[in-house]
Amino acid sequence: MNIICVSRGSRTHGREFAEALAAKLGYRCIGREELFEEAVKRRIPVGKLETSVVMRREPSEALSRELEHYKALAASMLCEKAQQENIVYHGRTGHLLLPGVDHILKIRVVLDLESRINLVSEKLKLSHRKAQQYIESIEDDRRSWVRRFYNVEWDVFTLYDMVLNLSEIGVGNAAQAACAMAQLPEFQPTPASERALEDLLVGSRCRLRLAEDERTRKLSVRVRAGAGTVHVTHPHGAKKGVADIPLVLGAVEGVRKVVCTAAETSILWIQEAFDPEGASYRSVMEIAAAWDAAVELIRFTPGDGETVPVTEPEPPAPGAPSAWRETGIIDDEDRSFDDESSDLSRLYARLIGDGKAGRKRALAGSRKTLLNAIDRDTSYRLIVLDGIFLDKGESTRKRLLTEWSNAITETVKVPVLSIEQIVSRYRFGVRQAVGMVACGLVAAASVWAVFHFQEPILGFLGREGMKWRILATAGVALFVPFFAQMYGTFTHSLLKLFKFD
Amino acid sequence: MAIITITRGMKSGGDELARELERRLGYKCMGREVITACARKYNIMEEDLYEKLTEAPGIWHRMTREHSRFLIYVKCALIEAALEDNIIYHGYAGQLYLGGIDHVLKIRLEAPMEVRVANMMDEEEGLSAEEASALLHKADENRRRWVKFLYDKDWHDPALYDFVANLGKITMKTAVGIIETLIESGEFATTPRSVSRLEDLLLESEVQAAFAADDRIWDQKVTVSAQNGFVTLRGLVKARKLRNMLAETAEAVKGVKRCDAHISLSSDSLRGGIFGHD
Repeated sequence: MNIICVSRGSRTHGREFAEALAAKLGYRCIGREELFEEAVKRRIPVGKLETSVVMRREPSEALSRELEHYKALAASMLCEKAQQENIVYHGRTGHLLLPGVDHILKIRVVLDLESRINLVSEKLKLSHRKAQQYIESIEDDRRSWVRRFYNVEWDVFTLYDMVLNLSEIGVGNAAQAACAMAQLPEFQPTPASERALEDLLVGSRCRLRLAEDERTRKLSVRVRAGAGTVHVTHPHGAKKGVADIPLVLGAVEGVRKVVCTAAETSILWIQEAFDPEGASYRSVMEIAAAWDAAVELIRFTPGDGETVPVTEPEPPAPGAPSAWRETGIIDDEDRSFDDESSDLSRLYARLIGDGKAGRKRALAGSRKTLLNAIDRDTSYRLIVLDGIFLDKGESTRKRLLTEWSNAITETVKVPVLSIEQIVSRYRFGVRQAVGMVACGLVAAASVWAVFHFQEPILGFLGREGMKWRILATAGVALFVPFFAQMYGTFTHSLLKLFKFD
Repeated sequence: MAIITITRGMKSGGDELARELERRLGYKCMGREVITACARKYNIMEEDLYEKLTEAPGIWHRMTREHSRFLIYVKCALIEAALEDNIIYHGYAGQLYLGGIDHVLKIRLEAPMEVRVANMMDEEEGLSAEEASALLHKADENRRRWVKFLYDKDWHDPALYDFVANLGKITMKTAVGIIETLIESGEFATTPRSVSRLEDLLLESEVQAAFAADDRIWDQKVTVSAQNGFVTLRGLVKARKLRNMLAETAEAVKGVKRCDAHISLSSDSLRGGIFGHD
C-alpha cells in the first residue's frame, strides 16, 4: 500500500496539510500522537524519553532500551497500518522508521518564523519575544530528538523528496501538488519494497516482544529480519535471557527461524578478489587482532545492474566469534557466486582458523548495490575497500576507488581505508621506523640545544626593545610548533610500534 | 502570471529546469542577462560584477563593503526585470532580493552530489571526479558564506523557499509538473497590491543605488523605505551636512515624490555642534 510521511515542525499547519492530503487521496491519516498513546498504554516512559532528549542528558542503559522499545512499537504500528491500507503519517521524520521501503513519499512542510510566532502568541497569549523563544526551543528539542533517534539533521533537504512552504502556498494547493506526486510510479509499492516492509514488520514485532517479555526485556539487542529468518544480535558475554530469545520469538507471527549472535566490533573488507596468502591479509589481521574485531568479507564485482545475488546459508563456523547466516532473498534468481574452492571461501577458512570470522557474501552490482548491502545495524569500526575495478586502468581505478570510498563514508559514517592506508596509518614498517628515529633525534637535539645554550637563549628572550621582543616572539612561535611536530611524530610512531594507539 | 526564482547548487540542473519551464509556461528566462544589464547601466565591468556575486567576501572586502555597493546595483537591475512579469530568474540570490513579494514563487533545486559531479565532468573536460567534487563543495561553501554575510540567512533554510525539489528521487519532469500545478493554483498570480510592492521595492533600491554612487554618503547607516513614491529615510549620521546630502540625493531620484528624512545626528556630532563646527 502507498505510504506518505509528512515531517512537520510546531505550528506549521502540518497536521492540516496531512489531513487535507489524506482526504484528497482517500488515505488513512495517522499522527504521531497515536503512536504516543499506544506507547503510554504499553507503559513505555515516553515522557522520560522526551525529557532526556530535551535536557541533553545521556540516557541510561535502561532508557536506551526504552528508546529502542518505542522505535520498535512505532515501526510495527506503521508497518501494520501500511500493509492494511494507504496511509499519510504526520510527525517527525517518520520515514526514518521505515528504512529500505523505497516507495515512501517523504514531504517536509515549513512555515516562516514570523507566522509561527503570531500563531503561538495568539493561542498561548504570549508576547512576541516569549513566543519566539518558545518556538525556537521546541524546534531545538525536535532537532535533538531526530538526531538522537536517527543520527541525522532533520533540516537537510536530501532527507525529503520535496519541501513545501505553507507561508505562501495554501494548504489546499499544497495538498493538490502532493497528490500529483503521490500518483507517480516512483511512489508506488513494488515487490521488493513490500518485502522490505514485511521484513521490517517482523523485525519490529520481534523487538517489541523481546522488550515486553520479562525474560528478555533487560537485554540490549539488535533485531533484523529477512524472509522469515530473524537475526538477533546481543552483547558479547551476555548470558541472562539469551537462551530464552528463541522461545520468546517462536510465537511471533511471520517468524520461521531465529539466529542469535554475539555482537562484536567488526571490520568490513571489500575486494573483487582475495588472496588468502597475501600481505593484505596480514595487515587486516593485525588490526583485527588489536581491536578484537571480527572480519566480515564481501567479494564485490562492480557492474551496472542492481541485482544482488543470493548467498547460500551455511552453518556457523566452530569457534568463530560471530558467525552470521544470511538468507535474505532480494531477487528471485538463485545464483551463488561462491564455492568451496573460491578465493573467498579459502580466505574465510583462514579467518575461521584465526578465530576472526564474521560472515561472507559475494555480490555484484553498482555502487548503490554495495551501499545497500552494508548492514547499518552492525558496528563496523573500519571498512577496507581495495582491489576492485581490476579491469580498469591504474588512474581510473584510483579515481573510482576514491569516489566509492567517499560515498561509503558519507553514507555509513565509518572510515574507509585502502590496504596501503592501513599500513601507513596502523602498521609499523621500515618507513615508520626511519621517521621515528629521525624525529626522535631532532627532538632530542632540540632539547639538548635549549638546555646547553640556556643563557644565550634567555638573554635573547629578555632583551629590551620592541625590535627584540618581536624577534623573540617570532622565534618562539616558530620553534614551539616545530618541536611539537617532531616530538609528536616520534611519540605517535612509538605508540604505534607498541600498538598502544 | 508570476515570477519564478530558481536557486540551486552548481550543476544541479537549474538551467535545464529554467528552460523547461520557459517552454511549458511561455515565460521569459533570465540569468546572466540581469548582470549584463546591470553592468551596462552602472558602467561596471561585467566580469568584476560576476566575481563579486560568486565569491564570498574576504576580510578586505568586508572592511570596505565593496560587495554591498555592487549588490545594490544588481538588486535594482533584477527588480526592474521582475516588473516585466512572467519571468524565470535562475541567477543569484533571487529569493533574497524578491522576498516579500507575493507573486514570486521561490524554487530550490537539490540534486545528489554524484549527479552534480557527473554533470561537472561532462561539461569540463579533463576534470577528475575528486576535483569536480572538491570544486562543487567549495562553490557550495562560498555560496553559504555569501548569503550568511550579506543577508544573515542560512542558504539551507527551507523557509527561504516555497518549494524544494529533491532530484535524487523525483525527475525533472515531475518537478516541472509540480511547479506548473503551483502556478496554475493562482497563489502566485500578480495582483495590483503585489505590483505596487514591487514598484516600492524598486524605488527603495534606486535610492540606495544613488547613495552607493556617491562615496561621501554611501556607507552611512541609513535605511530607505518607499511607498507609492514617498520615501522615508531613517538612521544616524555624524553631521548635518550628511543628512542634507542624503535627503537631496534621494529627492533627485526619478519617481520620488517626496522624501522625509528622519535621520538623527549621533551624540558625537551634537557635542561638536555646540563646541566645534560640523
